[in-house]
Amino acid sequence: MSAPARDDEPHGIRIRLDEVLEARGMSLAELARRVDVTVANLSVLKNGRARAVRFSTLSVICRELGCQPGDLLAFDGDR
Amino acid sequence: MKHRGARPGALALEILLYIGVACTAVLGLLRTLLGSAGFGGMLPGWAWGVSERLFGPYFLGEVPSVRAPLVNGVEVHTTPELYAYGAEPVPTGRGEFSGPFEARVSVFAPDFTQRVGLLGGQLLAVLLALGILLLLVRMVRTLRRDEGPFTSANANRLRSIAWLVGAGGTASSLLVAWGQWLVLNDAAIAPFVDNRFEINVLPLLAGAGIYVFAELFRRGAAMHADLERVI
Repeated sequence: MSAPARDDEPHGIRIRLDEVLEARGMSLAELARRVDVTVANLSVLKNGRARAVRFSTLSVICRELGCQPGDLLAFDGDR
Repeated sequence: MKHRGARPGALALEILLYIGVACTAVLGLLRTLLGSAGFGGMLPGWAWGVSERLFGPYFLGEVPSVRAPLVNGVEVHTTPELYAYGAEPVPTGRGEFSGPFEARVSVFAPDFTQRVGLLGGQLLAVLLALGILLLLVRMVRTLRRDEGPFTSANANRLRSIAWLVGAGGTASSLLVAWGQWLVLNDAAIAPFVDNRFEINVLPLLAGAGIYVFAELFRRGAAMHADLERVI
């Protein structure tokens, strides 16, 4: 069995949820209510502290924000 | 991932376990140390009297005894140090018969090695029980925390319990068996009893079972950790 991922495991994925939210004029609380995910969990995602995102969560966020997954995620190779 | 378990139930269980720790410490540890096989002989008479008045005649433990099958053809009246069951009280006797096929040898004054075996095994068992209870307390405490009980720390605690039960329990069983063998090997008793060195393998089996469970728990905890902060 592979070792569990560590909290500080480095990755180059940057979450751009705050930028998309700002462009749509929507608050995090409003999005949380629409996608039925807690504000705390969305905050974890927004601040880049999430370890992984479920496809189902990504789907509902994209549906409510009218965007593509690529609008929410970016790869920052320098990190 | 927030864990929302039955927190009031977990608190009640923790309190129960603490009561178990206290009872084991007083009734197990203290009684064993101050009982007949321990340092009871060094206690003044009034101490026994007070314990009898407050907690009953057996609070400090009964005189340790060892049961063994009698060898074929032994008759009660041929064994001067053993007294027939139901005879007058014999405070200085070495034992008594409890039936036609089995002897119960009461050890009123064990020598040093007999004391190490009889008391040591009992004491080790009590210390193991205390250690296991304290580990269980720490495991139950995690039920009330946000991260929940499925952590690698709890898997390690389960593994420790497995070692305490398996290795510790077997060591305790060996000590007791050795102490009983020493008692029955006494020159005055050995000709009349069938002295077999028998140990209890149940702790070994239970310890192996708990170890397997601990390994399953460890893998479950690792999977649970993988799900942490998955949105």
